[in-house]
Amino acid sequence: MPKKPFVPKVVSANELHSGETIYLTASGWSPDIAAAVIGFNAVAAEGLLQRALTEPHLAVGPYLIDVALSDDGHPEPVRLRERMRINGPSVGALNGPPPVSARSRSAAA
Amino acid sequence: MYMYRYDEFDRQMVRARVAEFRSQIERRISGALTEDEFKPLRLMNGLYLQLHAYMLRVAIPYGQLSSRQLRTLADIADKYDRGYGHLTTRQNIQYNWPKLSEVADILDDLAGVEMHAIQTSGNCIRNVTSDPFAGVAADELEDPRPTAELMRQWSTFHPEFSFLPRKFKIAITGSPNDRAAVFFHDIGLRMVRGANGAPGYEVIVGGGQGRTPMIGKVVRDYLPRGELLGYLEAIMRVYNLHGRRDNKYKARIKILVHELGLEQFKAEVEAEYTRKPQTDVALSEAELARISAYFALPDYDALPERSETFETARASDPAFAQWAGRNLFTHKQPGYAAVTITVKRVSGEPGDVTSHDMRAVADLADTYSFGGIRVTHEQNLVLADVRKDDLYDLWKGLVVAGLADANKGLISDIIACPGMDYCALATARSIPIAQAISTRFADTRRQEEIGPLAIKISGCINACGHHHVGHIGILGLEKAGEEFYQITLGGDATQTAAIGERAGPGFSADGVTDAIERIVEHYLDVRDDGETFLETCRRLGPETFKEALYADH
Ligand code: SF4
Repeated sequence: MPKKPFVPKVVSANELHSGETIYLTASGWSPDIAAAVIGFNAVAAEGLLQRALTEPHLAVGPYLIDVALSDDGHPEPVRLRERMRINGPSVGALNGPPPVSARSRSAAA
Repeated sequence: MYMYRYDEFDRQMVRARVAEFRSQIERRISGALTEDEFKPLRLMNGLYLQLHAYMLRVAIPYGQLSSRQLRTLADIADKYDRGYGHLTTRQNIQYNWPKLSEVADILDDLAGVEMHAIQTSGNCIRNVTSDPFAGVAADELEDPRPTAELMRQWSTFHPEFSFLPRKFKIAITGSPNDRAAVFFHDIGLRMVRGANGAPGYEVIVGGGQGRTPMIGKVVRDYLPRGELLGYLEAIMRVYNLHGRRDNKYKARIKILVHELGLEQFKAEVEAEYTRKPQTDVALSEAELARISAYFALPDYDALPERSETFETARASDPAFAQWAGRNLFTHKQPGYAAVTITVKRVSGEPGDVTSHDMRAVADLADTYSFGGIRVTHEQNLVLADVRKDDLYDLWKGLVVAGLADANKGLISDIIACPGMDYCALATARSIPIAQAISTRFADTRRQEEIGPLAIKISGCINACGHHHVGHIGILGLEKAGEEFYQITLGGDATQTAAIGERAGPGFSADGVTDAIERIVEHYLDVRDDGETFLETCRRLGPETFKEALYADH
């Protein structure tokens, strides 16, 4: 049986204070998946996850998600659930934009 | 307001719990506690982590609130959240956007009005649910709330029941017309009378929804009232002994009842009860009597059953007449009615109430209903004690507040769980489907023509949206990265309990509203005079809809 090609991965988690969706970047965490660092093989992906696990008081429950690369090379989640996590709820005029408080915190982290 | 009053014990326990959780949160934020250590602690305090934020679920015991409590819920929504809350299918309210560092402050504010978030999550006996018309329903044998409260006190902080194999849900109805879905709970209780006329309970065990839906089975036709807690403990001990802790899908009591078989399960419970029968029956009766005093009837006026003011308004104002025809419920006190305020606006999110809604309802409750409000498991609100003479004025107030939808029990009165817009476990969205259906069927005359029809939508197999018992159930799943929806037909949450049957292959998100419309059109074609959707479905079988659903599609 031919081996299935490896699906690239990024690490996602929820920011501790707000629960906001965040991604592991080269230097910390960001709410922007475009900034995420991509693991292109199993060893690299596992390494990213291990790095994420060393920052448990910033990022809750880090895990690997499958991504596809857009034409300009940005990672885009494969699973519906992860696509939903990027944009926030699709309903509710009440919801407004995602909270920014976590953004500044994680940017500083 | 006539509801159970928190006692000193509750007050101290709740305050102590908030202080303890505050320090646990601080230790989590400082890094002293890991998430693995913190997670069970936050779940014991009603705090979940969802897709994009934390969620705090606040307990509303058997759905009963005072106007003061509702105003505090509104204040919390404004101060700490995004100005709204979500009414759940277990008569609670949840906030979708609390910040971790503010949760203890929210819990303090709640404690100020005798509320908390205990028993809303984790593997404990959850908040007991009941009939939203408890204590006022004309068809009721007895008020179930004192028993619900007795069970709440018994189960809160009970050391034996804090670490059950799984969550455990109890519901009770005092009416033979079941509005509490007692056949779909771990334990369901129906108030009945014994051969000698003495009050007691029919005990139903092992119902539930989720991935393995089951209709509960009667383990005792009649249990004398004073023996309730002893008998429940016997059930819990049998469950604790056998319940599977190794496999969460098999850990619910419904699986145990199913695997042991009803007779064996019954025999074990009875043996356990004989081994350790309740010794303090008299005490239990006395306790129930003490609690009942808190549910004393409000100060009703002596009124004739018929209200001329009401009849005149109904005859002259068709919009009011339509609302009154749908949203009123027969009260046992002459001259009064119970009112359902549906929170199911056209294109709205089922069960979402803004702080503005909450304050408006609190004010109307103060003016017209002794300051009491109830949350229903159908994600609506109830004002239970309104003079018929006041109904027209109340309705005008609801119109101003934008809460006068005349759709109780109709196709747009949809139950929907939060689904993938919020919930970390979801496989598809629920709310946009509900919005699309309520938009398609917005015309109230068309809704009236269709008649009673309960659509219930869940965003995954956990079935929090009760899809198994929807007359039309919709279950959202994911296939190849896309949402798709399975439709079930013929479910029923009441005393004629039934689990819906799969209609056939699922539909895309875009196709599901069309599919519902084809089902409805077929029903209108084939129904007998006066026959409801559920009756037609029972008479002809769900297969009758298959052709309409799948022909040419
Ligand atoms: S049914 Fe599934 S998606 Fe809906 S609230 Fe329950 S767990 Fe979440």
